[in-house]
Amino acid sequence: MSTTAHLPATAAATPAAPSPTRRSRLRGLAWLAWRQNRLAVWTFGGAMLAVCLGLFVLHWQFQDVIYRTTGPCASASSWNVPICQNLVGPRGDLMDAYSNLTHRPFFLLPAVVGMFLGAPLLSQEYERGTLRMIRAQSVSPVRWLTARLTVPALLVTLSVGLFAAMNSWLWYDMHRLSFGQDEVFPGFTYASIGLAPLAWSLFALALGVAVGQLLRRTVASVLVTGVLVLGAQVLMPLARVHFLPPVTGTYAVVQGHAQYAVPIEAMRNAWLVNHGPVLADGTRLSGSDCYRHGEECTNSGLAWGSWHPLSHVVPMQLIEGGLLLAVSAALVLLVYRRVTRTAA
Amino acid sequence: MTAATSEPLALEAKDLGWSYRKDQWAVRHCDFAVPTGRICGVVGPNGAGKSTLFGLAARLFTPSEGQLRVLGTPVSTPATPELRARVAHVTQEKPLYRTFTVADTLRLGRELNPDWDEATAQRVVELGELSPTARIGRLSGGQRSRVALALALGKRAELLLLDEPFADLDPLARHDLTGLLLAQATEHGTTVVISSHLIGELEDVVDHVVLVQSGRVRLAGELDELLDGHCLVNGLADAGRPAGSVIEWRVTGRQATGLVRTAEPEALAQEWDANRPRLEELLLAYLRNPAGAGPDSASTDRRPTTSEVAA
Repeated sequence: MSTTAHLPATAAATPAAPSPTRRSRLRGLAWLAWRQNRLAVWTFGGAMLAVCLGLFVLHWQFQDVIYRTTGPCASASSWNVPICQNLVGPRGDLMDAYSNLTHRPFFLLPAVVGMFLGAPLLSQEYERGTLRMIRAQSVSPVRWLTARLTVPALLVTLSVGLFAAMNSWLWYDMHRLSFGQDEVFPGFTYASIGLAPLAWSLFALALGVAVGQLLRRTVASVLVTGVLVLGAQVLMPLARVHFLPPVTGTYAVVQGHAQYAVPIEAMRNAWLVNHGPVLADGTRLSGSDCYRHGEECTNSGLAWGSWHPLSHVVPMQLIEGGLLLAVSAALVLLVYRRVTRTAA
Repeated sequence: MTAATSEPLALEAKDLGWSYRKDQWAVRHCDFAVPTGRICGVVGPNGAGKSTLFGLAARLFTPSEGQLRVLGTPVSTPATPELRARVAHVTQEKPLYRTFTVADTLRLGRELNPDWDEATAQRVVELGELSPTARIGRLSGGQRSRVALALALGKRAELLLLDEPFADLDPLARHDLTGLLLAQATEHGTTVVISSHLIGELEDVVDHVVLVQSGRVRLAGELDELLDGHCLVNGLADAGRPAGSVIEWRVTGRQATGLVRTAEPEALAQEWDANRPRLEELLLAYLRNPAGAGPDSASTDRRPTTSEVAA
């Protein structure tokens, strides 16, 4: 009887004492995960939204240039039409600023995600002992971790995904106009268009969480995560070049030395992997080999080259993204295994 | 003792051990049992292994050897949320999210615990005159302890594990919260396991004692049985040692005082001036004589020589 007498009392007590500050419809772990990530959502999500809004305004500003270039001014007969005299017009500075400046800082986006969203996520819980407090509540650590990881993962997916989409759109504007000097492959553009920002940011998030769990010190894991993400970004091109077989070709050298000749297809918007003279016996030398074979190089009238054309960007990013997401999944699995094993 | 073993046990340790590194034991060979409904004091010097025992009971880590049953379930089995709901734990550091407000922290308790008792949690906080909108990071240590206790009490668990809960509370707060804790425990039949350095303060509160020293349980049992089973003797130094196992024996001039573990205090009283010890006296005698563990203490007895020399 005593238990039945208690039940209505508890049922009545719970709704009678709601949070005095704010009512939110989230319940249980979802509420906790939201509460813990609120600041990150407002700051990081807000900043990314502002960037996307800026990119949208830029795209809208470039519309008249795109219209003129691809529309009335596209044909040769339009040369004398007054509006086609200056295609870019007053938008020139803006376009310069976008194509030379905007891409570059976003190379650091994954590192920022890893350092400020990923690394503190668990290291802080271990360092301050709050994981023990969570262990004392009536929830399983696996469910807690799932909620804890889902909110930042969603935040990154949505905000970085939106940014990548917007920036790819704008990059395509520039590409259509053949404007700008920031090459896709060797420059910073590759890291800020297509799948790359999202895949790298999710990887950095998973890496940061795993490093944080391993080190259990916030400051140390923030720094280590930053170094690891940037290191991986710098080293990735060494592997990236092998993701797809490059296009190769040979061509006759009309003027100058074969060792300096660059295939015309690889001059712009392509990743020149290797090039050099082809010797009389058919051996392909790379440019640097000519220090030893100076005579033969000079006499060669045939050059060869291998390069990744612009069409390789999408498959390359798909392979790279798959690789990064596989590593991220492995890292997350590791984090799950460790969080269930010990909370001390 | 036979009556105690038939009771359901809140905690039951058998040869329990936990090593944090290979051959580095925080606790080892621990045997004790705490029946349900008791207020059990866990006492011992710093680093004795008290917090390790709490951590093992709260499933923060798993025993390296032996077994520990909490409310009848071995801690080595995976914990379900239902099992977690039955045990509340406040660690010594009282970790809380610093950016949360007091209200957020209580909401955390409400969201993550099915049997949450908002009224009790609110009362603990209100007794300390804490504002619900105050951030945890800006509270003093004592105020944080209070919020941590509110979180534990609001959970309405069957077993409350409180590791040094009152360490940074002022005497008035300590008194208030002890009263609240006892009221809750009696009302709901909660078992409370509480560790404290302040032995004297525990005497009025606990009815069961576990004494931990150097990773071993030296003494465990019902308070009254322990106090009845020991005698504080006083007499002439020439008279020789009393019968029974001598826990402590100190000679000052011609006077000798000591603590003796005996089943028959009446027999001792014929020869000596024998008294029932207070809890503090009992525990301090044990703590001062770490070598004299177990029944051999009377024969090995190392400490008295120093007292004799000094005299």
